[in-house]
Amino acid sequence: MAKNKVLLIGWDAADWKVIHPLIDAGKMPTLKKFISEGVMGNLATLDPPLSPIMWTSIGTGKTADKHGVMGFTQPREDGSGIQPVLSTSRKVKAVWNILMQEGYKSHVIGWWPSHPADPINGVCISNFYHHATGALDDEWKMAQGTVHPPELADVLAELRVHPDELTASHIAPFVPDLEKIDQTKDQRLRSIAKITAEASSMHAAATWIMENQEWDFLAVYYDAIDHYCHGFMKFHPPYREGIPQDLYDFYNGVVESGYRFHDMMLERLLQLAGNDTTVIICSDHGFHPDHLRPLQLPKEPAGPAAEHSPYGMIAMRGPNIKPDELIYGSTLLDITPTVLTLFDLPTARDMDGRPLLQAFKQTPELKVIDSWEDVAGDCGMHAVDAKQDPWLEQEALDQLVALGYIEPPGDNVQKTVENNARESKYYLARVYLSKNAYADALPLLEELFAKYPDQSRFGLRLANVYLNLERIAEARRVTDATIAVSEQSQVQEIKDNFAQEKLEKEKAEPEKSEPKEPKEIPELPDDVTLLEQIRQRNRPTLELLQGNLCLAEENPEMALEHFQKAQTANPRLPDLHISIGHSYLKMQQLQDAEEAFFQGLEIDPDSAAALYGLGMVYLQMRQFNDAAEALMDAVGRIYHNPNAHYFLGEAFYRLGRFEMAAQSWEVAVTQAPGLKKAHKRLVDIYQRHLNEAMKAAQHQQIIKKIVEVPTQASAQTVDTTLESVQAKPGVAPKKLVGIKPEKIITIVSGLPRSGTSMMMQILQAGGMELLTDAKRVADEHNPKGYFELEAIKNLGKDKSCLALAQSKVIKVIAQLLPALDKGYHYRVIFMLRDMQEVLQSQQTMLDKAESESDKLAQTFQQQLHRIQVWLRKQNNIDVIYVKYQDVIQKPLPEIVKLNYFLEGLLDVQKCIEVIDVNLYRARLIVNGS
Amino acid sequence: MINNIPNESLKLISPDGEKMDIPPEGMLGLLALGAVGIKAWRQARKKAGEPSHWYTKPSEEEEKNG
Repeated sequence: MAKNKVLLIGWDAADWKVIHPLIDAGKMPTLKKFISEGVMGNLATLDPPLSPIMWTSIGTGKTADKHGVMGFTQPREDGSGIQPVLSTSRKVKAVWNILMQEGYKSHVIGWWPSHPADPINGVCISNFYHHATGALDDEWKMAQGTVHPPELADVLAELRVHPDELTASHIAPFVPDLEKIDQTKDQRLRSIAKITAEASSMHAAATWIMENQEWDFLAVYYDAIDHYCHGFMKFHPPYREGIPQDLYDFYNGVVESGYRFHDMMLERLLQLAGNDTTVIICSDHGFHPDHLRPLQLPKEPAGPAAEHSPYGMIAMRGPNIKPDELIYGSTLLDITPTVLTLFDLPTARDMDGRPLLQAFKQTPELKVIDSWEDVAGDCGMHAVDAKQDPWLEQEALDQLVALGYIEPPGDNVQKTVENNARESKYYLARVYLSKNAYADALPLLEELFAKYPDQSRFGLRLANVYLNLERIAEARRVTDATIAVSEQSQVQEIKDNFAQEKLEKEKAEPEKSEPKEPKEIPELPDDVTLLEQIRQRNRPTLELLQGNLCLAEENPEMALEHFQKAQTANPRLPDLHISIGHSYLKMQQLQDAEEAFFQGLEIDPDSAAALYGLGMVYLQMRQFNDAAEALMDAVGRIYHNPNAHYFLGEAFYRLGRFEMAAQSWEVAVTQAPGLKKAHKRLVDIYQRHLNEAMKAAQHQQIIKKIVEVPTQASAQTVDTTLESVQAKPGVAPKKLVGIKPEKIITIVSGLPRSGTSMMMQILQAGGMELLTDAKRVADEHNPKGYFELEAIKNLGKDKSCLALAQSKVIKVIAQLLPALDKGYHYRVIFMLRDMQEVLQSQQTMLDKAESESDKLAQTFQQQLHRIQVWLRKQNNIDVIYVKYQDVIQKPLPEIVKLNYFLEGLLDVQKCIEVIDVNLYRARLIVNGS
Repeated sequence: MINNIPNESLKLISPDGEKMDIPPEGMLGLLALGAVGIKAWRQARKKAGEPSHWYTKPSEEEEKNG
């Protein structure tokens, strides 16, 4: 590949959701032309979505646990307080360091963090360059270390634009009615001037370097879009309830004008770069411009990051870049590997991203080394003991406080430093969580939760880790404790505010000259009332939390009840429909699950979680094309999702696309090296389909080395005492309240071969009386008998047998349920079993081949759905859904739940004794769900 | 329309093709041009008798000459 020039432009927080309408309206003509000549796509962000972390990941191709930049600030080495995060915190080489080492001339402008400027072979201008520190007639000093080489400091200092230099002509494009604003009360015009001046300073420096210096690589970072958005996205159309109308009228064009200004600056950069340069424009995250804008920000450090959306943008144009194409599945970790590939340099195995090869016209030869960190030579990084300018650090700190990204450092130095360490630990834990490295995140979050039990964010993340490690009891304990502490602190906050308000009113009274009726101060409600009010306010989130716990406890029915309450309180709660979908998925109500995931997509069309859920639904429906499409869409949005890649592999496998399946599973194990099931599938596919014995052997070796992350799932089942399980509610009967047990008919139902005979046997052992005629005798397929009643088969025509079934148990296959006599009351125990297992068992029984099984599965699924919908509508029928597999694998909680449903009719111990694991013969070798 | 010619001979051309003076009060388009736009704007300010830009500490020679 010929030597190439690369221009990397960073637009913090740029989002296609804002850009597309502007392009359509002809308001960003330069970017419109740019994308017609190149590729474009979403760029998935990482968690936590904090700019210094993200931009360092963009510049290094590595996640924060490797690169070391862990937030906005860091403690000073001498313990005297905190300072803005510095370039010296970066533990690894950035792409410009690597390029310098390989003889390319690189320039870096404004990257976050880049102070002090790296001593590279080109010009480096730090992120301290553009902040004005005083009035126009004050001297505007520039901190030592802002510009490298230092001899260019004076020339570049002159190019900075001070906010006070700007005039109404600069601000009017943002706020046409600016003269109507009282600037003594409203400082927003000043804020626009500051953001615009700072962007202009960086842009002037970048253009000066392009005009006056040789270069191979130039990276320039603009923070202005993020700042315009944090200040003014609330006023961006469409108008939302609660936003003052006058402010909306003044400021609704600021975000749009900010983007248009960037389009104008882009025109100049492209003019200077020339057509032979490959240009990459990217953002670290997006910024919700629509109904997903949060109404309130979390009261925590870096709370404004809640406004960020998970998709940044990428657009790329150049001599070897495809014109007018979309690219999918990019993450910000891919930028550095892509730049290295553009220079025909190897990427490294210790980088977390990969080159965006789909963007290239001619796919370059991919070279990989273990690590660039081991490559010796001057790369323009700082000596470890580089010293900083404390005066300018303070200015930068003030800026971060003003933006709301960090708490104001208090007078208590020790406390400030401690808070900083706390946040860094929390961010590191979140980095691990985003990589599914739960075992690494666990000790950090346990420490944080123990030390700061009042901070619900730590407790909620810890509960999430426990859930993922299947330590359900601990997840519930931590969630309950977190909710309790959070509620108490909210009560206290209301009391404090009330006391403060009362004090202020009392103080204000004597100052009034004319005597007036004393203003009545409303009574503060008692603690119980306050708590109830708080719970009401928090209801949607609490129900969602409780529901997710139930889901993890394999109790989807109870989960669904919580989710429905959450939905009543807030129908558009983010992620709610995803959880509802997963509940239905667990209950094998696949069409309901599909509908729920579609509702999730209606709220957020870019929801990778909803697309993933749909993929799971279609896999179960055996609609493998649809499954592959949904899962590809999911990983196209959030590429780092090992489970999605794993199931995408399953979909490809079922479609007979073995190469694609292997690729998907390879990605899954790259993203989650300990994902044993994916390694197993790779062993199988390399051996049986792709004839790659070496690769199969490699994965076999890896499987042997994998140490399972300790989970307590099995221990939990064993340790759970009967009493403790019984104390938990199961599925409460809702419709048959007050009906005498002797009037109720208990029905065991489901598809043939879904475990109905086993359930009949369990109920009999548990003490219930069965109604059977023993006409169908035991055989090899049901060695313990069928427990059927011949007359039931004729239920459509003759319902008289039901009269005998009151207070007893009968078996009725699912398809016959709608023929039940409406004059009776029924409790239905509906058996669920993996459809493939059901079919396999049926085919074995009928001695048939599996050729028709796909069509049959679809038909059965549709029938089941119709019957389940019908059941829901019947006022004389209560239903519990029981998974065959669960009864076999963890009988105790399942039977306890069943007994709760049957209002204690069973002898649980005797029920468990008859469960014969050996009957579970048609088990799936590959678990597709 | 802004037509940039390097070496500080920056010209503004109106949509009708007329040459325009650089306004001393500036415009967003000049900022978007980067270094040359800012320099040209500051020159226009100086020409109009306004401070060319933010305060810079005078050099020792300038201080001597008053």
